[in-house]
Amino acid sequence: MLTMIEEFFQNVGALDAIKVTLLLAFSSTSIATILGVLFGLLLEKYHFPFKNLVIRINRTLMGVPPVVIGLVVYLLLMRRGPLGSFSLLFTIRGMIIAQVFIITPIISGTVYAYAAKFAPQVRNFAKTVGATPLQTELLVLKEMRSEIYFAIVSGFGRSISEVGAVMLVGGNIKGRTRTMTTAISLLKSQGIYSEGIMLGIILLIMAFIVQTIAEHFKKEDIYDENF
Amino acid sequence: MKISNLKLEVSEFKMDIADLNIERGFKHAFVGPNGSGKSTLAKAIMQIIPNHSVDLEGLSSIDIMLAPQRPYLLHDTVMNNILYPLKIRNRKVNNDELISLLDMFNLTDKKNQYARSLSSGEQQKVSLIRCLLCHPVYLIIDEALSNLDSESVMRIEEIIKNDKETTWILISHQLTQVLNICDKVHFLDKGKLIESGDTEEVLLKSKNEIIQNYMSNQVIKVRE
Repeated sequence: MLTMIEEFFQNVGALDAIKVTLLLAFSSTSIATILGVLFGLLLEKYHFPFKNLVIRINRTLMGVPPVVIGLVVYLLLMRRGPLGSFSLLFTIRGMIIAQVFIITPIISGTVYAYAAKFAPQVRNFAKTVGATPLQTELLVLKEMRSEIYFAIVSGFGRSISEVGAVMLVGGNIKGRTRTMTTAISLLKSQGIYSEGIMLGIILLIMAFIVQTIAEHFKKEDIYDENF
Repeated sequence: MKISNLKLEVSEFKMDIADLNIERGFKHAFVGPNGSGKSTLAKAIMQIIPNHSVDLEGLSSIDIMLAPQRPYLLHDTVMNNILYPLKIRNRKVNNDELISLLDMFNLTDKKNQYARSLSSGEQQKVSLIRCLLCHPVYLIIDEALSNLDSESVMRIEEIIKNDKETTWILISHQLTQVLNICDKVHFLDKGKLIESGDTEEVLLKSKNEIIQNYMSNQVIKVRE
């Protein structure tokens, strides 16, 4: 059993794949959180021409197939592409860029949807107690904390389960850019199902933990009933 | 506080008030039928509906507070909800006053409870306590006593009557309450200020047909 596990980690490069997956997920989710939360809140607060079009584009990007984003980022980062001089193709940094493009619309779209529903009430309340504009915006953030956490966890979940874009941009290089999902994809094509399933189970456990955290934050809403 | 040339359009509702003076040191009431614009006027004063018609005469937004009928409570405990307005003012709470108010409104045992799990009447009490602790220059009570039990209403009425510091603005359909507490009444109808003046002069002695009709309808309702 021990040798089987040892073989699994050595042959497939499972440990490296887990490391890359986590590094990728944490980095891209962190960047996408800053961009997405800020964009979602600004989109709710300000009115400008073509705002509805921007919201519609954001919603479209929330559901766009990652492989399409992967292809666009690949074309941008390839040697002859506009960003080719940065040599980011087949690197983790390149993969992070691709995932930021995938996750940011998910976080900004979710934050916008919640903010459109709740932020006006919070702002009105802040006015009734005499809060300054800065205190008001901090209060909006605080009052929406569980919704923001939920958006972040959704983004993180999307990141660890994503395969198309990281395969295209990262190139699935063992020990460097191979993630758990791209490793599973490779193992399947080689007919090595048992290792693929083991890796899948580890990924499933990670996804389960992430979803449990998300559920925990969603549960707060249950207590909002006015009896 | 002076309101001059206030023109608002909210959905299909139009408000047009040429001149309204809410003098400090008095207890005021906005009275009028449903949809007359009482709450809209309160929202305009609070700048919830942005406008340039409210002259605070040197006061800032921190000096005016509003306790609405359906208060917004933070996702936090009762105590943190009560202390929030003081916190943003960098002011310390008067512990004796806090304990006395919690006791008066039967919230002592619930101070560490999640505020949103309270009943609607208790939520109104939390909203009132957080305003009372701040002692604002102006305090607008927009139907904020509607879900309170009669004992709590009596207690808050006593507080209003004895308070010399705050200028109270009451929005209420309880005319006995208005007659009992308020010095000045501003009668509104369809977004217009019909009459302003001493409470009894406006409500009981006015020759205005709209006010007379409103008052006779209220008397019929009480008799029923």
